[in-house]
Amino acid sequence: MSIEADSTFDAASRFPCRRVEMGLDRRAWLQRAGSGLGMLALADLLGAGRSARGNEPSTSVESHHDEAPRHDPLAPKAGHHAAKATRVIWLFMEGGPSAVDLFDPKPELQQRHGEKIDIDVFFGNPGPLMKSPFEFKRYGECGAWVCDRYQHVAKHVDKFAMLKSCYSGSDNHVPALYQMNTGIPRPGFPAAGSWITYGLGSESRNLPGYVVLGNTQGVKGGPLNWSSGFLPATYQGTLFRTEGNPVLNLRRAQEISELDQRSQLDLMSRLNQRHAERYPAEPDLTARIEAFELASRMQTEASEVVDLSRETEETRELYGLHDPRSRSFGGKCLMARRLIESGVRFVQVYSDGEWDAHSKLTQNHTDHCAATDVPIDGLLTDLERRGLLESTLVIWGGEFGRMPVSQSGDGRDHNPNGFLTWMAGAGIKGGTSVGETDEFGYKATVDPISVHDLHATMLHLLGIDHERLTYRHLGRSFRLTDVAGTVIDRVLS
Amino acid sequence: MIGMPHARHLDRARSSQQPTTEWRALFAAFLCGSLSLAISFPSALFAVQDSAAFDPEPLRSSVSVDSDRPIVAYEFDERSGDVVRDLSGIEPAEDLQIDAPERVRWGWDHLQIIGSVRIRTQSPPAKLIQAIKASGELTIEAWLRSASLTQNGPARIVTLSGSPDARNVTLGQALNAFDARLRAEATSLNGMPSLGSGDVSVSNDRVQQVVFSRADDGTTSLRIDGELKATGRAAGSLENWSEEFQLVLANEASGDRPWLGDLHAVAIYDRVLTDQELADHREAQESRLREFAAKIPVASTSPVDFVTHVGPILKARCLECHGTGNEEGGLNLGLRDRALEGGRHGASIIARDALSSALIHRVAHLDPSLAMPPDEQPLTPVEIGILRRWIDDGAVWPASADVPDPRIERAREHWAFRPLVAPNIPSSDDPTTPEADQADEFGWPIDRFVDAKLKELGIEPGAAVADVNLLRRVTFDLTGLPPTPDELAAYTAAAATNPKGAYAETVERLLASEAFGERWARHWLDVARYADSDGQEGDRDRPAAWRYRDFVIRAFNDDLPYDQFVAWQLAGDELAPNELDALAATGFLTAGTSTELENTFLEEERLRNRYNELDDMLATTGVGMLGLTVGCARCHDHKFDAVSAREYYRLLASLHSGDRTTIRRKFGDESSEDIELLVFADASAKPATTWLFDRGDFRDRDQEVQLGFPAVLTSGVTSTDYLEHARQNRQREDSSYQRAALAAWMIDVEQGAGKLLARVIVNRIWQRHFGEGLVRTVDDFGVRGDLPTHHELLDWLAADLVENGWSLKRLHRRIVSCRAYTRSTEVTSQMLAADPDGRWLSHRRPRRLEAEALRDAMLAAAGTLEQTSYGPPFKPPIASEAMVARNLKTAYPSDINETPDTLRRSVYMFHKRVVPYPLFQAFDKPDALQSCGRRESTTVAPQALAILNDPFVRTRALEFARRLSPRTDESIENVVQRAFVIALGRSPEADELETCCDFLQQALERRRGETAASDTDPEMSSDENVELEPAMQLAWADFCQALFGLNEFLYVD
Repeated sequence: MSIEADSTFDAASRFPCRRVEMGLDRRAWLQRAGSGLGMLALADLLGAGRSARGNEPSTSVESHHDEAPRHDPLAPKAGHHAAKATRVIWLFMEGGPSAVDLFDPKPELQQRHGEKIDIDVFFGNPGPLMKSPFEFKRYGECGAWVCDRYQHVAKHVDKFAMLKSCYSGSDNHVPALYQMNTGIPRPGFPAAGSWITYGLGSESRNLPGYVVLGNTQGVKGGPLNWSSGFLPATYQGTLFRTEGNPVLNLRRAQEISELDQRSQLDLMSRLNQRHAERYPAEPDLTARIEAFELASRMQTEASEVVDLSRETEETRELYGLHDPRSRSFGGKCLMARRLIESGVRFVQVYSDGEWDAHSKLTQNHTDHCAATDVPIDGLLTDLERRGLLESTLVIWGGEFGRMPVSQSGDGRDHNPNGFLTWMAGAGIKGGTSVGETDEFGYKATVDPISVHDLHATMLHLLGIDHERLTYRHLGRSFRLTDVAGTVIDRVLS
Repeated sequence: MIGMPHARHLDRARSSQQPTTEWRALFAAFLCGSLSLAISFPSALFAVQDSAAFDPEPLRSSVSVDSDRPIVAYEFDERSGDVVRDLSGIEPAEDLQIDAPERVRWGWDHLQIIGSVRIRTQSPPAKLIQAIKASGELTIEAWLRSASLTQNGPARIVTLSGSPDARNVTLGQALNAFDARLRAEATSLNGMPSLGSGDVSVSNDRVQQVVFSRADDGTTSLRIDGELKATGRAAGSLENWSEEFQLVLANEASGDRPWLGDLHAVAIYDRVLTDQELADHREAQESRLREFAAKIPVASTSPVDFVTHVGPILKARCLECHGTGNEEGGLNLGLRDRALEGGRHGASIIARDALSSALIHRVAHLDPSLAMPPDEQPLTPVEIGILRRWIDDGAVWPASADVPDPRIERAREHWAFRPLVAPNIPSSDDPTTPEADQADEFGWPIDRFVDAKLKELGIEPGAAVADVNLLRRVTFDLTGLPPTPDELAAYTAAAATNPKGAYAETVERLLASEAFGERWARHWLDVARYADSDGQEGDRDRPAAWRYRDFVIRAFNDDLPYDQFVAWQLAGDELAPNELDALAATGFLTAGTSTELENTFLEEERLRNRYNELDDMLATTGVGMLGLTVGCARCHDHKFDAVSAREYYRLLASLHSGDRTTIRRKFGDESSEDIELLVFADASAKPATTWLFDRGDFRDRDQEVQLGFPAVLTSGVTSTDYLEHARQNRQREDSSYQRAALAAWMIDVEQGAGKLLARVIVNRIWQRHFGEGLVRTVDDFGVRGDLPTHHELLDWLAADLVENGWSLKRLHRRIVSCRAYTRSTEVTSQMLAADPDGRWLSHRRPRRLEAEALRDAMLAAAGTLEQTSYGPPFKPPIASEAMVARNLKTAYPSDINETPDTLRRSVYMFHKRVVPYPLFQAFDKPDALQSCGRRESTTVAPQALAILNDPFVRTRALEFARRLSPRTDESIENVVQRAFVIALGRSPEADELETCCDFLQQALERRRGETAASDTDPEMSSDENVELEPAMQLAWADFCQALFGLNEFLYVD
């Protein structure tokens, strides 16, 4: 008996979950194409024992849409278990908002204001403890504390699960942004939105499955924050602009009319069809013909989805579009709603500017609250009245939080050791709170929540077992949650 | 174990006055394991079998207890922790505390005592002392196995005492006899004289029932397994018993009389148990054993031998997790001494007692939650029978049969790590197949291997592809460009008379062109994750990085031997410190992302960054050159990996003394210009200290390590040998030469990693010619990677490569010359059934151009490709809306216009990591953040949008139209014909021609209408080269753009 149990090509059965069959198995494709179910065999996605060769994919990877192109890696798929949420809107507060000044007041900080404590800070030179400049009140049935700058958001606290003990692995914006988005504080890994569209596909046929509404000045770390990493590029986030051309290459050149382009499309289609007939066993060729038609439809639909003039005045006002301070973020929140209504799976909305209050915290946070307070209220109200909140997970949070001690006299430095994120909507038990930081808000002390835990919870709500959503790359099966992550089940409804 | 439930349920049975039969049913349930207490050995001590004992009666007070029940009872079935529970059910429970938990190991059903430890009550056990004083009787019943026959003192097994010379009662071991001392009126306060069981009473290879009793008439007795060994007298009342003594197991209260062995059960009664009761206990035990044994496959009836029968089972089924390197649960089943010692959960193998051996319990799946091996096929009954017999026969294990490192042993057997020996070329019964290397038949050995496989599988290979398609295929494969219309015409003419000669000549022409290096460098740059900026937040430009890119292009064009190519990339600065290309080659190490952190930032952040960068370099080296995932070992030993954590850090030592740095120096004489290079360089000749970090955490320095290379790829030589040799040949004094040693090991085919290096590069090149590698997981040649479809062919090509001076051009020539390469993409239904994805090479499949080849092909069709080779990179215009990153230390210019420089080949494009070129991003160019050996080929709408609306594409279409320069008097058919040859390398078919002409006529009409309605397009009219009317120019551009959107343009047949 030798260690290799069998010298034949048997490795697949020895390590059933370690194989990738992406696009390799033409036989299986041909069989399924015959029954109208042509699809990439996402064997790895479904985890152990589901090699495309050994097991035909179940209905969980079938297309539910007649008009979906065959061989469409974005066709909607069922997850591992029943999903509470089918879509996500992630309000990303770039720069790192301060928990102790917004949702998690610390009386000890007020009392010991000015006292020096032993603490490590990113930029060096820690100041003394600094009390919050804001007033706090309790709101809702749950009695959650919210600061006076977030009075509109405060109306919704009974929908929130406050995750007060989040921590991450880097003091530095970009690694922390990468970690919050991809689980790993380094560039080059797929973003959560990419993993999710890889796992579940998208309901939208005419829009990308993962849309990013960036901020006016650009996000630190750039598009690597919504990159598909080593996953196929199909799953990368698409940046939508709120003004001008919403998506790159969406508008025709000036010299080409709609009719000109239509006739180009028809010519390509005829010649491509003819060509494809010579290759009956190559699904890519057919898929590409359909990609042109999809692109054509997308030109119309993407332009429509960003056209906020189609909304009523009441709705526009609800999102704060009438106030110059909140117009930009409000527009993006409204667009996020329009996108998920169109079937987009995952929308990430970056706040404008940065919550990065190294100095003048009062001004910084007052401004950012003013920019986001009404829009968030509007979004939650609107989602609720349209019945969308029960299937949409809304997340609010930054890449890290801020220190309890002062910096430059009136600011706060980065703090990855303890910060706050809240979730609301689909599958979330409202009015709950998990975890605590210490008496100052410096470090997560009770039930610390890692970024992997946040991701695991997000995936769980979407019906995905985070340990089984894998992709094989460079000799290893990767996950969004790496080798960690625990679902925070106390916040689940 | 069932002790506790017995006692507890006994209570319940009594208090609720349930009839005996129910109790028996409950008992049966335990026996059958239906309450998940499958392992119940040896227990049953306290399960009284006599039905009379179960007569309902009310519970008595906690001190005055039933005469038939133990006052304290311990069964050691906790399996973990430092508490042994009192299972008597008589309150208060006298739980025992283990004061040195590290000196015990929990077994399935027992506690193994491996060092001096006291297992004792927290306070004097009043219920016990009072009950015994009241009755004047006692029985200590202990089920145990002694660890040795040499312990003495006596070694205390059970004692109710205060010190070595003050006791109530003690059961101990004196060498090979048991010894009991009891304080009574007629004995000393130390219980002397003692009662000994007589020599040869103690066994160290089986569990014994040891019983010491004292009746109220003073008679004492010692019984071993029912046999009366000794009787004595300790007369008088027990009124002189101290109530201050604690109950201690395995030691004296003072801690200086330790006993070593296994405790299975201990119970103390306030009466004398009858012979019948003791026999019942043994019977219950045996019956339990019988029940238990019935669940385990029977022992093999024929004799077993470790080397022949047992070792292979352990090797195949256990060592992956329980061998050196991965001692899960502390258990190592690869080494005799360690295996017999057991793991953290106790002994695994108990010689001559298979039924007590946890190994057997686990593999027999007696408790599903603890079954072994986990998540895999269980062992067969025959295999378990072999193990059972082997243990029962004494677990004989010759030391020579030890497996010192199963990971290495297993890995050494893995195909990719075996020595490289050229297999014999299969013979052929086809009279047309050549036997020797000739220019036009150079690929024959490949076909022999391929054809042999096809024949074996009964697949009929397809025909050869048409000449024009073959030219297009080989031109794209070797140069990344389409054939020009002239080349096409010349080839068609030459092939008409001498197809083989024409093809061979073409291959030579292509291999000799600069475009060859430009094409193949791009593939290697993917592997090297090359880019022109830092990545990360600042994304600072690296203006000198392109020297590495030029090194790669030049290396391929000059056919630099691959071993030297590799060695220079690891240590060019040490091996040839005065050569520009050798220094530039170290750009392989430096090409990864980096962050410049301010000195004021936390030290922790900077260290984290440093180790991430080193990890990136090492991981890229491992994957890129050897197809090995070494990165996983950064945090832990992985059972599947060929590289252990220790080996990872020893490899890391090769890089740890250096860092990326920019240098400026002259190459050549004084008059030559200073050249700036981004290189890797050591700080000094003295190697930096490298630590093994526990779990990859750089704050946890576990131990210092020296340079070393993975054992699985090293034989008969050590890292020190390589290092000494490298230092002897040193050309500079300021470098540690550890990377030179790494390079020497890397290219050493005989004793180092060279055999794998050769296999991996052959496979990479094969993949780029065929679309898939012979090993499909091109970046993973480890034990979890795919096996090669044609193992012998791969080995033959690798050996051929090494034998011929690592010449890659020669390898290319071989590959593109074989018939398998020149097959058509046409498929028959037989092929689709037997070889659906072409892995057996019966046919070819069309392949999509990479992003760069697509851009270059559009430029080539437009006639505006600027073919200047080498030199600094160009930055292409990028739409401002595609630049979405903030805080860049070097921003990407937003005002770039197209110039001839920006129309150079894509390999010369400046790749800014955080501002990717949109066309490339859409067409799956990797992001250069990690090594990439195999590009994805996705089909998504943004690709279609790019073809339709990207200004680059439209501009090329306009240029293409200008190149066609249709004259007003020329027929549309003629021009379409020309366009097809340029774009697709062939003439249109009649129906295609018709379709195209229809399109153009309509487009012309529409465009003329448009231009008539509006002013003339100023851009068009201002172009002096255009003689065409603007409407015609636009219509033809529409047509040319549509050609760019054809699958036939994007896919190579």
